[in-house]
Amino acid sequence: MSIAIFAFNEKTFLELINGAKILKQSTNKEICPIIIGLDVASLAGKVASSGVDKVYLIENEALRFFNPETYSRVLKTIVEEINADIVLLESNNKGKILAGILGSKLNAGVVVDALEITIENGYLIAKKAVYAGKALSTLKITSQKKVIAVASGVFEPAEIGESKAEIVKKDVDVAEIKTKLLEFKPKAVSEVSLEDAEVVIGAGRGIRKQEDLEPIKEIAKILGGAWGVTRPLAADYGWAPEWIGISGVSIKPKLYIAVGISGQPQHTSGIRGSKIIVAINKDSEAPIFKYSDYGIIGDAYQIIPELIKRLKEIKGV
Amino acid sequence: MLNILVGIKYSLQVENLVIDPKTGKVLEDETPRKMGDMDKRALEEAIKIKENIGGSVTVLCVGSPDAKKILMEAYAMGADSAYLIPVEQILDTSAVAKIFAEFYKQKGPFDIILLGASSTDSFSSTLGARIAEVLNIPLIPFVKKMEIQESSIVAESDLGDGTYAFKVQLPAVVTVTLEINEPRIPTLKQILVAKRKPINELNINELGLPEISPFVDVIDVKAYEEKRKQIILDASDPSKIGEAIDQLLEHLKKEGVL
Repeated sequence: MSIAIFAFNEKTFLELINGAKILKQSTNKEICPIIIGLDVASLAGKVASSGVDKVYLIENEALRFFNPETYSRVLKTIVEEINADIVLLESNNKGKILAGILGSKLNAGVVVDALEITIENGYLIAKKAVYAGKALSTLKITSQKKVIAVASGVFEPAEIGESKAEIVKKDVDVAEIKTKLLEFKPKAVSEVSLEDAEVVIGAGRGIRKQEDLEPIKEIAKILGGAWGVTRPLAADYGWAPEWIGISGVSIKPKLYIAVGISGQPQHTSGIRGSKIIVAINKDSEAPIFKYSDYGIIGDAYQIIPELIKRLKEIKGV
Repeated sequence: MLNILVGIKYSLQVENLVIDPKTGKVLEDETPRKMGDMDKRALEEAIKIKENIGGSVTVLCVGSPDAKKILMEAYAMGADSAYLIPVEQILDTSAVAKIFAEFYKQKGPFDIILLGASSTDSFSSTLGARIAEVLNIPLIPFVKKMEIQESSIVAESDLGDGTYAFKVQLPAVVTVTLEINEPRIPTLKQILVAKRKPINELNINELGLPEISPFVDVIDVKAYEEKRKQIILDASDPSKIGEAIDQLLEHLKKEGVL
């Protein structure tokens, strides 16, 4: 039996590999990352040097872009061939779809958004945030095969060392696909990724016009961080390509400053990983204050210019 | 004419969770429920397709017997028939997918299965994928825009790293996000008319399914304790702003985050 791992980038592969190493201690299963795509041999090389047992590499022009049907077909084929009974994936939209499809293909129990995985009395126990991040659910997977999508940052990335595992190239037939990809439009990439930023400034509906985001961006710049918005500002007004929240990007900075954000569960569940949360809101009853370490009740339009002035003094810019 | 199946979940109202103050356990039975936010948009999209090109909309809910309430709401919005498969135990997505697939075979065939991409309470986002795979039909997940083109669907899928435009032949499963539409609010008259419509109840045995056992058991669900410091400074009087910012920045320096 082995543990199969699939991710879309190096960082996540290395995190999942470290997670698999913890499972290996009690199960002694082989760790087998599966690399899928086009021109991904260098990724395979790095993953092979991170303390795994064997790497499977499947490269094909038809795998250049993600397609749930092709990717799940490749994964299922390899997982069955290597007789893996645990599959670790990343827990974002693409990883969750693969988890669902593989769950049915392999007749496996599936847990997504896993925050912790342990083995107790031979059962795999996973913890997952539910109810818009307000509660933690403890789940026991009872099926023989198990598919787990792990939230980003749960495990530290495995280190890349000297010794290198064997890389096995495989061909999987991905012809006759029912799901046709017509076009892929990549999301505009911001200068600092929200997901990895150490400081994040978020703007909510208290910010009334798109140009009023400029001072928010300025604070982000002074503090060397990223700026983001809540779902309505991105999805309804189109002021940003993505939003902070459970249905968007979950953040885990050292400092998160929420400006004019009321604190809907969809948003607060996506900021839970922040070390310190600061809220600025004129409504003293806004739920965001319950999720904050520090807060200022007051008009953001008067507070922000003053805050910028003081921050510039502190940072000497 | 398209025969559309819409799956809706009788979801917990996460903003009104009832928590046992002694144990911290979430009391699901006492927490109010509603139709899932994305599920409601799946229903709206189905009704729009029916209005534009004709067809019929069947709504299915696998959930507690009180879920009749949201099936009435589905009728008020414009559904043509509503089914409830009452279940007492907590089922995982593998079990619910098998129930949907069996319903599809017996009450269908359907051209499209529309679902919310993620439920409002557990937010696993895997049910649509599981159903598509059990039925061996294509899936377009996380859809923010869709169009029927003769016997196929073209839809824009938001998969985090960008937008994917996929095209599949019917029948297919489509899961939708909050961005796809704004659900209609039924009129009082529509609500009253809906109350006279029948909710068809089917139990799992009637579907001819063997004992359905989930692959994932819920051991417990505990509310997070909010451990935030909640040091809130009042600057609703603008003359206090300077002082409040000074204090805030002192705190942040001590926390080592500035």
